[in-house]
Amino acid sequence: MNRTLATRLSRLAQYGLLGALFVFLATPMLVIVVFSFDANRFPTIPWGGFSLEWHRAILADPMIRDAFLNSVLVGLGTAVLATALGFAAAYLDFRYRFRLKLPFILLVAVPPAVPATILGMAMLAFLSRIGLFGRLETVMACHVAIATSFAMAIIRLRLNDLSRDLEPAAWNLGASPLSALIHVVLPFCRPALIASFFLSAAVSFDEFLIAWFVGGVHETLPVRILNLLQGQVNPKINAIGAVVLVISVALVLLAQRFTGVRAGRRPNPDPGE
Amino acid sequence: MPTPFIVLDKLDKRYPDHHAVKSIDLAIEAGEFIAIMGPSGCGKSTMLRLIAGLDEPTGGDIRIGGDSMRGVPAFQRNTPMVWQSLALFPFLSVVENVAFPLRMQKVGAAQRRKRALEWLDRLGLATMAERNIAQLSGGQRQRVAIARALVTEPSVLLLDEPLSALDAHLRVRMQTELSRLHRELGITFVYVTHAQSEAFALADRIVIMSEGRIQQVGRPQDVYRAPANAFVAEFMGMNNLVRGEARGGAEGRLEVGSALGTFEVPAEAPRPAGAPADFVIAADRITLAPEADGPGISGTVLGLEFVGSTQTVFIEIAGGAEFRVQKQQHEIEALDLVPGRRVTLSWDPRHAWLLPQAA
Amino acid sequence: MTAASVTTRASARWRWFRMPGPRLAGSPKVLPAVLGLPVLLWQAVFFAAPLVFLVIVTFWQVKAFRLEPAFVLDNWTRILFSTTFQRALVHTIAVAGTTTVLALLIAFPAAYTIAFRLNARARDLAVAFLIVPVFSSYMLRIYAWQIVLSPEGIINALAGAVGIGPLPLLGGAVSLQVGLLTLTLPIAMLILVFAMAGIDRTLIEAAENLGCRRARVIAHVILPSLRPAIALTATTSFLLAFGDYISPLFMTGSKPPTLSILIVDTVKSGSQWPRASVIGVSMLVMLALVLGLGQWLARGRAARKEAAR
Repeated sequence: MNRTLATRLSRLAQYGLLGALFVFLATPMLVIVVFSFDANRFPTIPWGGFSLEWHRAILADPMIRDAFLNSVLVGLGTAVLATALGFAAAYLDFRYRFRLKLPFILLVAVPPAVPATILGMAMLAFLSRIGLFGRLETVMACHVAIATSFAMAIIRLRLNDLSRDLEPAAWNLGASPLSALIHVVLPFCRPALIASFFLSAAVSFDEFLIAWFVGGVHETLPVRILNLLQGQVNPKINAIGAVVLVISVALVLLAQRFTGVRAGRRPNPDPGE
Repeated sequence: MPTPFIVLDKLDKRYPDHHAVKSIDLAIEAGEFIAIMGPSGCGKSTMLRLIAGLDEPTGGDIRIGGDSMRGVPAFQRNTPMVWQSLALFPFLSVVENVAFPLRMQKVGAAQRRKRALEWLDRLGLATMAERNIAQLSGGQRQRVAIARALVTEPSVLLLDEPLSALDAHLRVRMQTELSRLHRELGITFVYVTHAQSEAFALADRIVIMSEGRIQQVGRPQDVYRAPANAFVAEFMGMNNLVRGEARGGAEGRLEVGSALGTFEVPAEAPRPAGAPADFVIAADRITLAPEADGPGISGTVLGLEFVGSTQTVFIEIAGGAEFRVQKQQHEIEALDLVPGRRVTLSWDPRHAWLLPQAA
Repeated sequence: MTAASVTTRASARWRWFRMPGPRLAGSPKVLPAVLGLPVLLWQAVFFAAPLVFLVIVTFWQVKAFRLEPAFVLDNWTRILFSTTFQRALVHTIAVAGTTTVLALLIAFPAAYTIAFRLNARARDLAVAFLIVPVFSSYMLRIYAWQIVLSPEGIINALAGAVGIGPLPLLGGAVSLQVGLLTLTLPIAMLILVFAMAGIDRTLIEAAENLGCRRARVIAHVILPSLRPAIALTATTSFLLAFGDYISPLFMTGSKPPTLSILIVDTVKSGSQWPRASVIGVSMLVMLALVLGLGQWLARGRAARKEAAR
């Protein structure tokens, strides 16, 4: 009896902790979205009534419109290039053995692990000396250097499932290594390519420190928000925030939809004490 | 004289960790169905991959139709292969799989679809054309793989243990199918397998390999009845090997002394006394009788094992040697062969096969 | 019959030999080079070169607001011996260390619940829910916490309604940890959930069948096999918290400054690039040491003994 009660309490504590944690993670996102529709200038309780005023205001703000357009351009460019480079890196790792492979893979994999403050500063210092400072293309190029790591990881995972015979079979049936790559490996990797496209776009769409350092006058949307946040309280922030949040969550969910990431496939995990 | 179509000339393949193919010479005739057999790791699959150009030889050459394949990449050889894993493209439909080689040859879309459908029809898959690979049964996938390999009308088809994933019933049906295709097409089939039954049922000639070397090449019956060495004799199974040495003999016969006694075996050439003389006697050539004092070897029945309609009787001979004897069910009943029963083994000396002396 | 006539006959009859295609595409060296070079160049120019340049700049000088090549150790001595840097370093390590401990303490039981208590469907959903925040708008979520915790914010508005005076929620160590946990917890939990899902369940069931209590199963079966994952979680949490700029900026108003804040301030005030670079390089060295320590811990005592032999 005593044992059952203890077990029950322990279970309750476990689920309680998990629930509290999810509330903790969800709260900031919900706050942004909910208060973007608040009529009050300063977001707090009590709720000042439903209003689309701030959403309309951001549509009318040319700086925000430009920043949004910049973000879309940089995000799309990053998505395409990071997916292409990530595929190349993943395929090289999968197909070939070569000297200095580990340094090569690390060169692609490591960038997200370097704090963005340091990386942003380093990129600014170096790229401004070779005349690339303050261009939208440079922001994109730097985002590609980071996002390729994620693209490579996703595509490499998919290549693990590619039967070792499939490419040789294509060569055997008259496909040159290049045609085999195009007609066999690429179609096989399609879900991973789509996933890495969306995830790279999400990574770029959220990145603000590097964009802030190297972008110069070209602000992306997160940089615009950062600049707004450092100024006075501005009710527009919630509205932009809601838009950005919805877009990045959508991108991540789309990416997930195509990776099929699962934490293990096992039968009913509850051993039932 | 038949025309050699594929010639392996001192073909050699060394990997960093092992020597897979050791300077092999082999001539495969045009239109021949040749089976390459051997235990796993004997180099038979490597040899097939070398012919297809999927691996680079480290020595020697391959000639197909008289032309050296040195430096010719796999995709320019037209030596299609049916893979053990089938290696069908999971993202393409059945008809797209079959049309793939034509697409690589830049055949127009309508034309390649037409030709792919013809081959599907020929293999009884006409109704499956638009299906996904995942929706097919094992036997159907097998046919798709064959159709895909043949759609370019090659002069040679390579098969790497193609039937090993199928159940026994399907395997026999596919054997018939392959046999029919070979007859109709008249092209060269090079068939790698470890299953003796498949090789015997299908092949004009079989090649026995071991440790990267060819042990024997010949018609299935010849290899079975007249193995070139002890390895082939053992590999073919159902052979009993007696090791001994020459004692002398007359015209066409050799007297062999062994631990089991002295035997007379047919011999083409005399051997000096004391020279090694090993011979084999097939399991189905041995006569069993109740133990008697007459000629023959005495032994004790150890056990029995069913092999189709016959049984294999395992018999222990004095000194620990073991003999395998193949008998029909009614013979076993007549002799009341149960474990522990004492029997006498004998055979017609003409059925013993003297192994050639090692070079 | 000669070899030549065999060829003619064979090609006429069987078309066995293909039209020679472009050999370039078939050459074994060309394709990997074509694939690898762009990646290599891109990462070299936009990742490796900036970091190398960062190290070089630490030895340069600023004269009249202009960066000039030189080889001086002045930047290093000035920064490393300045109390501002030393205080910020200690503070940042303390903050990141606290976050690491908190993240492990909270994430482990939560990940355990997800991996061992939820059914497959709920687990997938939980994993999806954890992946979303990793890639979406960290900065906005910190701003949201600012709204929630500020003196006029949501919590204080609620507290005020029941007569509790405005609480100084924002600007202290607690709010800083709220921000840093927002950053680290999803990743920490993901690593642990995936690691736990990979544990051989038969091991656990065997231990339970032998009459082991849950606590003993966790201590003797689950924890040892999770050692590398726990080390990875710890190093990742530390790395993220150590380098973060946003939480210190918005949750404590940069007071006291962390190293990231210090970098940005140093760059902004008088273009002191070399000194900012010194701080950056010091941080990277620090992180490398932590990663090394994590690796060492991940291998475990037994493996270390083995390696020493």
